[in-house]
Amino acid sequence: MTYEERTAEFKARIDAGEKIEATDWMPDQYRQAALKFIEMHANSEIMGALPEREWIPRAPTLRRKLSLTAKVQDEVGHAQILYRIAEDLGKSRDTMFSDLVNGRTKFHNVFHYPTYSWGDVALIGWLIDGAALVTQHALLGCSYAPYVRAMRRICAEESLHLRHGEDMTLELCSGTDAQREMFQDAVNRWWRPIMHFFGPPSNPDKDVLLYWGIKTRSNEDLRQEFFSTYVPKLWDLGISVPDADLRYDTATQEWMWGDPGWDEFWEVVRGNGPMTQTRLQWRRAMWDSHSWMRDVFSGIPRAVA
Amino acid sequence: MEVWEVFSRRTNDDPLVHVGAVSAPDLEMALVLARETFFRHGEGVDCWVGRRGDLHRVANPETLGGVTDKTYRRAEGYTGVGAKLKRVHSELASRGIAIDNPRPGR
Repeated sequence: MTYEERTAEFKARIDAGEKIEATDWMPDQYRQAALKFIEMHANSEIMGALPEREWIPRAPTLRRKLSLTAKVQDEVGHAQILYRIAEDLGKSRDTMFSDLVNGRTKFHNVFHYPTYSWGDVALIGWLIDGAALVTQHALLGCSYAPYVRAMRRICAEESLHLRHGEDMTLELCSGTDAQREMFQDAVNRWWRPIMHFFGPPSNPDKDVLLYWGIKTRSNEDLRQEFFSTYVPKLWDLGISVPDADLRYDTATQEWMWGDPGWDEFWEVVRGNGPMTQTRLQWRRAMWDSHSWMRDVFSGIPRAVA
Repeated sequence: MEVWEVFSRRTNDDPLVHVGAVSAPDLEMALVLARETFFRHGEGVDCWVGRRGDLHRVANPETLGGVTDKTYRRAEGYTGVGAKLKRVHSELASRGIAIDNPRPGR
């Protein structure tokens, strides 16, 4: 069988809803697309722990401190699970970490921004995790089976994070004017990055990830679901959304929304976000200072006495 | 004879689940027996075996997840959040703070 024939057969399997295992033959394009996608997801989990980690020492109560610590641990745990899956697609963990800290691979745009207040922590826990959960739920239908199994577990943990974020949000929104303003301020600053999170509206027919069933729904489809789930809740809490064009069109049953400044998005994904270098430097410092531990685990021969 | 633990995947996207064990003198026979013992009716789409001696149990499994109160790591630590949303909403609506714009389902 020629390469083209095998590829066609592989594509037919995916179109029929079959799942691909790590040990299956797969075309190079599929392997590369799946690896790039899962590696970026893993990078985002490990980098995503950093903005929240900054708030562990400043959590308002012991319970909140424990919850936030547990959440940060979960995110790092997700990265470990995902890097393992990415490794099976043919790239070593060392290379993935070194590519991340040297800016050769990407992580999600929202983790390139600073956190200014406890309102940001509530917002990240609720709306950023909410946005992530919308996209991650869609990945449960992914064609790559090991990723699907990981996503089941990750989605379960993210649902818990969402509750945790919602709880913090409700506390602020039902609190004093200062607390409500703190959350409103966080929404005002984070709304554009959240719009960017779903990516620009793209042509689904040209999306290689959709073609191979690695993603199953388009950027815009996911963004619309996010609006439907979270915008009414924000309004119920008396929190406005900083997009003058945002409205639900009852006739077309679609959300209309304004331009969120895509130039900023492209700058951020190119590694020029406000906190990109600071966070990567932190990651790199950790990577370097922990190298002795990796050596121990990888079994460098013991010195003979 | 050795004991071989048998694992099955029910459908392609399911995780491996332990389904039982067989006694066999070698790997080849273990695979045959696993297949014949546990999959005669098409109970799964994938089957793995491993020597019992190669599998290791964690010490003190009752301490998995911690021994102190760690409900903040579990859903039960957040029961009532949904009800709280409704309560906060009705309170904010009565204070005229909630925003009543068109939305899906109305």
